[in-house]
Amino acid sequence: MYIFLGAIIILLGSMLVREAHKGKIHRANYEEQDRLLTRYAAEHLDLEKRLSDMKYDYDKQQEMADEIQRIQQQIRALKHDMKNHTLVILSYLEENKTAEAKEYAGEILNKLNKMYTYVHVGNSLLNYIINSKLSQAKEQGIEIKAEIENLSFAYMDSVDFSALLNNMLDNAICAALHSRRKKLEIDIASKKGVDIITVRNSIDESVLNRNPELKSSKEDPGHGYGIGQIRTITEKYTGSVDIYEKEEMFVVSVMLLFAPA
Amino acid sequence: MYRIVICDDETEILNDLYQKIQGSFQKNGISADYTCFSDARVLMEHMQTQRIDVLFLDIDMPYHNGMDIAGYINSQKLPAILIFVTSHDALVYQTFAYRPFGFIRKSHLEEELDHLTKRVIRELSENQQELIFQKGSELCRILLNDIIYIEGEGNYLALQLKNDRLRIRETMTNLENKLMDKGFIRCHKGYLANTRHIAKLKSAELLLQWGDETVSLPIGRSYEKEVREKILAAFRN
Repeated sequence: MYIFLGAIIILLGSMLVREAHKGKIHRANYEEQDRLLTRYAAEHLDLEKRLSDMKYDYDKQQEMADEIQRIQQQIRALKHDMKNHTLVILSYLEENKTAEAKEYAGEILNKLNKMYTYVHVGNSLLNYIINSKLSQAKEQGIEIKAEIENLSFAYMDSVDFSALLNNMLDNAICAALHSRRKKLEIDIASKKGVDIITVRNSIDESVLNRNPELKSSKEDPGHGYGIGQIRTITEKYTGSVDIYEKEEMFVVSVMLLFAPA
Repeated sequence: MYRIVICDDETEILNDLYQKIQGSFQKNGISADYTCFSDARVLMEHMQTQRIDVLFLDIDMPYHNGMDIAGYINSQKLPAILIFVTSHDALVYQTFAYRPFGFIRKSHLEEELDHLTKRVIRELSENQQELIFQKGSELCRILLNDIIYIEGEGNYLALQLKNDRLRIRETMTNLENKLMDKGFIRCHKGYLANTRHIAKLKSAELLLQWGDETVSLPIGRSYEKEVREKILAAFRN
């Protein structure tokens, strides 16, 4: 009798153990699937982020290509104009009308002097960004002062470089437009063996006092939005960002060192 | 007495520049010796024998343009503070060797001269700052400019100077506090470097240069970020 009961207990016990074990397996399975699901979700988010980044870069590059095409067209138009002008001067000279030829040449010179003198450096990306942004700023009535050293920034990815410089200039141009004096200064230099980009814009009153975190808002257009990206890119190249105000100018200065390891 | 030299090939502009530059320095309490040249060749001759503290130079001149003269000053390591005067809004330097201390535009002369004069005066007076300390019973004075770096040696500190090395009894922390607003940075537990002599910043070392000598100081891990921030801040102007 006792033996019988004992056998049943043992049997029940072993069944319970087996059930519990099955439950454990189930739970383990469930946890495993949960982990996978989270991982897939995270990977999906990462991919989406990368896709949107790539779309952004693609748009920027497209914009750049359009701009280059626009400049080429301008050069063609300029060549065409110069040809016409020369023909006019030549025809005056053939008729011995020197006074007219002189006057005509003077007029052209006047016109040319009014055009913005572009900077020319070996780094074509730097050239392109500076020239397009400067003329854009100039068109909007901003007064410009630039000091540019011919640096290659070869250790930087060109997408990062253009995002950084475009951001710094876009912010400064936008902020300068909202100020009374409308001034913009750019300084690109290698000092003490480190590359430094400094962009200054005029301000009417301190931005840092009112908005030390530089959150983008209606009162502070321009800065804010881009600062985050400027910091991210700078950090990637082991650099440093210095933001300060001096003599009614808002200054963003960026130091860049070397390519990420 | 500071020696200020102005060079522009157009005499009318030269005279105007002289008036305004002199006025600007005067306003800031600095009287100086002024010399004006309208011929870059004469300026070049003058530079071979005379010391110049501040040189205002028109970029577009016949015979020697501003960039040539900048290159000469740099190659001869002349201590002159060079300022370009130009009608351009944008200047491009092919290499660092042609880079001046600053540039002012003829179209914005008075306004820019005012800012620049203050910067120049700050630079000139910074060049004369001294470190004063007790050595035994003597009171010693050393130009900050002459200190390359400071190294901890037990209970002493060694000052590496341009042509000398001095041992003084002082703690690194004390000296760091004294010098941190004066262009010195702590790059390592045992080193304090003079930013004026930095030639290159590498990932874990700081290259200092004076004359023909070079030395590499280590950058401590915990100092990395601060070193970068301080070097960048030293360029504020």
